[in-house]
Amino acid sequence: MLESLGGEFTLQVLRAVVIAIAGLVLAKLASAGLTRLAGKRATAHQLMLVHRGSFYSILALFLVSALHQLGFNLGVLLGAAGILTVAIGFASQTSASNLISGLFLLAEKPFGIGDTIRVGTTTGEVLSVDLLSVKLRTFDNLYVRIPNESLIKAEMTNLTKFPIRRLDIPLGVAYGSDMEHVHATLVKTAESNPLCLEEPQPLFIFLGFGDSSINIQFSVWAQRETFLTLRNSILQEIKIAFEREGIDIPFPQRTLGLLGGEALPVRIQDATARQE
Amino acid sequence: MENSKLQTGVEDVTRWWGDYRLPEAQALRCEIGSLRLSVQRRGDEWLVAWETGSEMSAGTSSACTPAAADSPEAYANTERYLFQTPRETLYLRPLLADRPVVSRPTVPFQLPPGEETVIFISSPVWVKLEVGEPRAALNELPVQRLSDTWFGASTREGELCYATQTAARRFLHELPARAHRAVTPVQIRNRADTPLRLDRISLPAPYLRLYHDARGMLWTQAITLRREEGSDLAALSVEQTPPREADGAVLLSEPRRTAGKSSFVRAFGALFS
Repeated sequence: MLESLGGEFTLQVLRAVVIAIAGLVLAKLASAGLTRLAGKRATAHQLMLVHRGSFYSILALFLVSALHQLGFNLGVLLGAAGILTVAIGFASQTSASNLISGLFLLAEKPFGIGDTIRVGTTTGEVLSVDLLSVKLRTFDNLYVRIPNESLIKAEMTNLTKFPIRRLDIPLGVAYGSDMEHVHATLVKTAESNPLCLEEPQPLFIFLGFGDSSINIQFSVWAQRETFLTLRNSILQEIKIAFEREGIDIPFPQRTLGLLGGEALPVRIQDATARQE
Repeated sequence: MENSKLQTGVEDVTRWWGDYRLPEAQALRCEIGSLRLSVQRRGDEWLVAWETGSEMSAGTSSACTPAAADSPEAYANTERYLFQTPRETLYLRPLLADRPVVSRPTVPFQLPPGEETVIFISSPVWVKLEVGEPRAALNELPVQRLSDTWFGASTREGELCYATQTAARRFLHELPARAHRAVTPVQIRNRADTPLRLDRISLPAPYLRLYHDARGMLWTQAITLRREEGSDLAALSVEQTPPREADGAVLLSEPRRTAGKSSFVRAFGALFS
């Protein structure tokens, strides 16, 4: 009986060894085959991952079945795998969060490829919405990667969602100005600019009495595509119109008052005297 | 060269559209509305120079006259068109606007319940330049630069249109004879029991046909706005035949776009905003 037991054990060991060797050979063949298949379409980095990944996973599979042949209890291995999963889970928290944020962004669609968005202080055109991040191209042609997580958590502005956009122009006019005249001049300037939309009508808001000037806000609407052109042209036209109509945009002003009521002596120098 | 003027006793319009054969080193100078245009041919090359003013600078008469070769520096815009073989004939044709035209009556008016009226609204035309056989399109120029405007239910949805003002004349004899604006008769019917206030009317210019009558005035098809009882919306319909105010109407150009019914329903929902 001992002999038969020993014989059976030897058989098991032989079987295990055969399975292991077969696994090794198969793993080598499979990894080589997969690498050749992905050869043209993957980068060197990805090829290495494919090669190593396929090799070790197939080898592991055959080794596990070889061990099973030898009679090892696989429960222990499973337990170890469970603990490993928890450890990996903790480590990949951020990546998992980015992945899930990405899925939510895809479903919500606050922006699409080609839109211009502003996140914090970065403004750029969306190049791609990937699994873990969104790629932007800023207007000075720099590449920015924004993790999806920060897009879900923080405020994001989509500058190209709606077809028209309002331009707010803050102005200050001198205290002696006739407000009706200022209003009429601004409205006429907006009307004569063809890029400035007639509807919605330009807005004139009297903001308040400032330190050096009366503060007003003049808002005009433009099509999104011609916004920049309008901004440049209307500011120039307002300046020209104000100069023509005699409306003053004052420099910061200070009024000097002398204590004690004494007069300050001022000497006026003759221009011709100065030349000598 | 064609430049026809019919004598019918009523004030007639000088027609600027038609075919023009241009010999070498001779320019064709056109003043259509506030568009100043100069077209000349140099061998197999065509030179087009133009300037567009605003609505204020539009004159009432339009004409195309031959002139000696022009210097394009006198104009704000110039373009050259190069061909392999010389083409000798220039075709000028009027077209309607490429976007809907929102007309604001200079004095807004109200239509009491049960009333109906016909008003005439005009919109500026575009000049299409084509040369040779087969016709090669050179350019399309507006007779005046109209201001952009937005027409829609909100700032989020709507479409970009042109804005113009209209005197909303009600009688044919009041219409000035102008060859650079196309007149659209608009019939408005208010069948509801509240007055209808009109301070903005959107003409679906890209969907209308352009005709000229025996006098040389430009017309489009008539459109009808019908506001039914108990509803804020009104039905817009476009007649298929030339307007009856245009005697001897001849088709000049087809609509730029053809629309399904749904787009018209959408168009007037916002018409009375």
